[in-house]
Amino acid sequence: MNPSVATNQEKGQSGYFSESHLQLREELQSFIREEILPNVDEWEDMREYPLRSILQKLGERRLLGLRYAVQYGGQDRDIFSHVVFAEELGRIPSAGISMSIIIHNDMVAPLVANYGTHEQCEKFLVPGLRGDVIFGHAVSEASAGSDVAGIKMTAVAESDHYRLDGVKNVVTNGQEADVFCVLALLPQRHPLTGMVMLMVPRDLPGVEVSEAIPMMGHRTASVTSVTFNEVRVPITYRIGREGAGFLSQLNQFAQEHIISSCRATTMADEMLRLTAEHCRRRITFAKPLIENQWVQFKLAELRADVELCRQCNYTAATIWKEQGDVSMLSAMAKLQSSRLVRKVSDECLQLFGKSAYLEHHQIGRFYRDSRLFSISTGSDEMMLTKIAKLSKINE
Amino acid sequence: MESVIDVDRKLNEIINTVKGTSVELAANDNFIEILNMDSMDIIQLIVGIQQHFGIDIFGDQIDIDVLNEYGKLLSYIEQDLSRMESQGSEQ
Repeated sequence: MNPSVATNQEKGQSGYFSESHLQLREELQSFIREEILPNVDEWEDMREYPLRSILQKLGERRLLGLRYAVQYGGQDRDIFSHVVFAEELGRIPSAGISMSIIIHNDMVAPLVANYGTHEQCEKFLVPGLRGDVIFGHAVSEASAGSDVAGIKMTAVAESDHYRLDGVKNVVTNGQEADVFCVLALLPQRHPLTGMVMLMVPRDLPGVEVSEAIPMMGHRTASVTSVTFNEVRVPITYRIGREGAGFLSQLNQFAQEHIISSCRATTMADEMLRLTAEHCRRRITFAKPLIENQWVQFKLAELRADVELCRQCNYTAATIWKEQGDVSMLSAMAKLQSSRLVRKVSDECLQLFGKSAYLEHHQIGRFYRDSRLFSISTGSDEMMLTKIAKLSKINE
Repeated sequence: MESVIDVDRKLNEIINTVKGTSVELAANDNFIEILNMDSMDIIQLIVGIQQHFGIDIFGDQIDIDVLNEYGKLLSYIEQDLSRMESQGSEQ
C-alpha cells in the first residue's frame, strides 16, 4: 500500500472520482493496513481468517453496502464507491480474503437490496451490512458452473414453503455463512423463467455444510459444498418474483463482472508496483535490474495493459451507474482483466526469480490466486460466448 | 405513443432479430421454447425492449410469466407504455 502510487493513479481519474471517493480509498487503505496485512501470512497458513470479525469492523466503520439505502445500513453512495471498495480489496495479497468479502457485499447483498422486499431487507440486509450475518452464495453445482441454466437443485412449492433438494459445490464463505443465497429450479418449468432465489438460513433442518475444501489459491475463502436435504424454506424468504431467480442472477452477474474486473486489475497493478520496487533494488551483473531497457519495456507494456483494463472498468461502471446495458462491456472487462492478471503474475514472478516461488512470497501467492479469475464467476469461455453472441459474430 | 399494432410489430421484430428468424408470433406462443432461446437471447430481448420501449424489465420486478407467452409480454409492454403516457400527461 504505497500512498504515492495511489495518488498517481488517481490523478487521471478525477472524472470518475470525487473527493469523497478519494477519502473512502484512504479509509479502506488504512483499514487494510491495520486490520488485514499484518495477519495475512498467518491466515494463509491456517487457510482461514476471521471473516465475521473483519466484516463487523467494516460495518462499524460504515464501509459495507456503500451504495445501498441508509435505512438498511448502507450509505446511499454510488457505484464508484463499490469500484473503490473492490479496487482496494484487490491489493490484499490474499485473494481469498477479498473474494469472501466481495461475495458478501457485492454478490448476495445486491440481490437482497435490488429484489428483496422491505421485510427481507430488514431481516437479511440490515444485519448483513453490520457484519453480524454472513452471506454465502450457493449457485454452482457439480454439473453447472458457468452454465447456471443447467442447475439441478429443485424447489418444490408446498403451502407456505419451498422444499429444497440438491447439492451446491464451491460455495465461498461456506464455513462461516449464516445465510445462503440459493438458486433452485421449480419442477416442470423452463430454466430461464422457472427458478427461484431463496435466502436459506444455515440453521434450517436439512442444511449440511462440508469441511472446507482445500484449493490451489484463494486459500482463505472458506470454500465448501453445501447439501440441502428436504429443507423447508419459508416462501417469504424468496427474493424476487417466483420464476425470476435466473434472470435476477444473470443481471447481477453482469454487474459483478465489473467488480471482479476492478479487483483483478488492481491486483495486477499491485504486482507491478512490487516488481518495479524489486527491480530497482535487485543487483544483477553489477547493476540494478531496472537499468536493463527490456525490463523497463516489459513493465511499461504491462502498465499500459493495466491502464487499459482500468479505463474499461470505469467506462463499464459509468454505464452501470447510468442504468444502461452493461452486458457486453462487463464481459469484455472481466475477460481482459482475468487474462491480464494471470499474465502479469507470470511476468512478475519471472522478474522476481526463485524468491517469488517460495511459499510465503506475495508474488507467488498472487500467481496462485490470479488463476481463479479466468474460471470463477463466469469463465473466460463464458465471457467469450457472451461477447460473440451479443456481437452477432456468427451472423 | 405507439399504436397497439406498432408495438406488436416491433416486439415481433425484436424477438426475431435476437434469434435471426422471421416467425410470426401468436398470442399463446411460448416464444422461449418455440425459438429455443437461451439465457443470452433473453438478455438481448430484455435489452431490446429496454432500448426501444424504455421499459426496464429487470428493474420492474415483473411477473416472470409474461416471458412465457408472447401475448402476455405484449400486454405488459402496452400497459406499461400507457402508464408512462398517463404519468407524462399529468406532469
